[in-house]
Amino acid sequence: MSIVYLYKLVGSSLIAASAFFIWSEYSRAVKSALSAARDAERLVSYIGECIAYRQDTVGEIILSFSSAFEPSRRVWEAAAKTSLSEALSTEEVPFDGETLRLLSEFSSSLGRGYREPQTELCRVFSSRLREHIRTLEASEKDRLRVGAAVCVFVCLSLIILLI
Amino acid sequence: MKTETEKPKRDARSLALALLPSGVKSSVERALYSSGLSLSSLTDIRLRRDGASFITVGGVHRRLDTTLSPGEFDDFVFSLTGGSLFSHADTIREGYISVGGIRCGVCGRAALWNGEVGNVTDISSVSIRVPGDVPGCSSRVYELITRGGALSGALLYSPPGTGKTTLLRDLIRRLSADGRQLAVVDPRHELGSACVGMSADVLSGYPKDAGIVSAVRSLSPEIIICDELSGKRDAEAAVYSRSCGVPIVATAHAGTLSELRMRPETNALAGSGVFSYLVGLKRPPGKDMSFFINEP
Repeated sequence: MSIVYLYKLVGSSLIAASAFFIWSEYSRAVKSALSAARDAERLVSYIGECIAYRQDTVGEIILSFSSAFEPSRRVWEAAAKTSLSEALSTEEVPFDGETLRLLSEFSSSLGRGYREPQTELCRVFSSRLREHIRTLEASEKDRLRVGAAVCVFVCLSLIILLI
Repeated sequence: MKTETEKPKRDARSLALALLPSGVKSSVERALYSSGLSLSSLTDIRLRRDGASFITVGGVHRRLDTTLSPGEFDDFVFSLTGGSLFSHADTIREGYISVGGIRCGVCGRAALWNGEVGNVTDISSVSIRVPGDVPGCSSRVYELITRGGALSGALLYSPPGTGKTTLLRDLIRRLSADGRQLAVVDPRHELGSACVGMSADVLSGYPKDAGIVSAVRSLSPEIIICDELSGKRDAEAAVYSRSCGVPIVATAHAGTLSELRMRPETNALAGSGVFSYLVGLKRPPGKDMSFFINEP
């Protein structure tokens, strides 16, 4: 009899551990999307500043950008070698759908105009990205809370069903 | 062109070909093949937005069997700028894009600001000047300006596309090999590639007048090399350099000496004593370069 309880205890622990693992992965994905969006916004602002005050090409500007977020750094490195459009379409990107859409739209016009229109392009997209980041920040806690609740309920349900 | 060892470097020509869209590149290769001439004879590639494309090979213009659509042409111009039109705004305003030492002349629709070209939009033509590299082609000029041990100045004049810049590149190498301290004023980034590893200080991207004055004041050169003197300020800078004891070798556009004297600035320069020699260059299509030396 005691071995059965032991099995049930071990099973429940495994289910709880799985739920925790799923929640932590979900949590990491939510936070990663936010960090990636912040990094993208920093890049767009940086490109705008460089276009305004330097003669460098887009590739040189992106190469000189110091990224604080490893997954997007890989994308920027590829963008410096080819182009931002190409890197966004070929590399594994850490961005959420809206950030990716904004970056793709930005990259399709980047470099195709003279200084003033290009700095204005960067200003506009930086502003749109900041707005999106605010939305992500506002929803972050709710999303994490909902994610945690779902994990706990699913975990408990499974334990109750199996026990 | 008369040379000691004619061994044109393929790198620059290959680089020029690499700038082209793949369809145009194949067309150029077909045109070269059908004309029986090699890549080393290629001097010019002219592409137009939705218009006829030509190459100049062995001094003869040959039409390419391809044209670029407006979209393809715009993408081509975009790629020439390294995906950064804004970073080439200053040179586009002056009519060219410089890519790795290759000058691509451009024209389009000019937007005027206070009567001057402010921006050029809707670029419609690109003329790629394929840089030549002909070791020894500057021998005649080198002998002139080094005659007697002291360096002398020279103004080289000829119509566009005769090989003045190629000659200057070779001259830089010759003078540098002698250990001469050169200042190279390179506003169009066409001479810098010849200066790698040489005893030359390169003032890259400087306006010519500012570059000459800066070189005299800061770099103590034995001689200044500058491509294409044109306006009054360039002429004044050349006079300043000579008056400070620094000879200058420069180029100017003119078919003959009398044409050179038609422009007030170059006429004044020719008679000012800035240059010890006025050297005319001529190269009829498919023939060697010849020199006409005048001592003003």
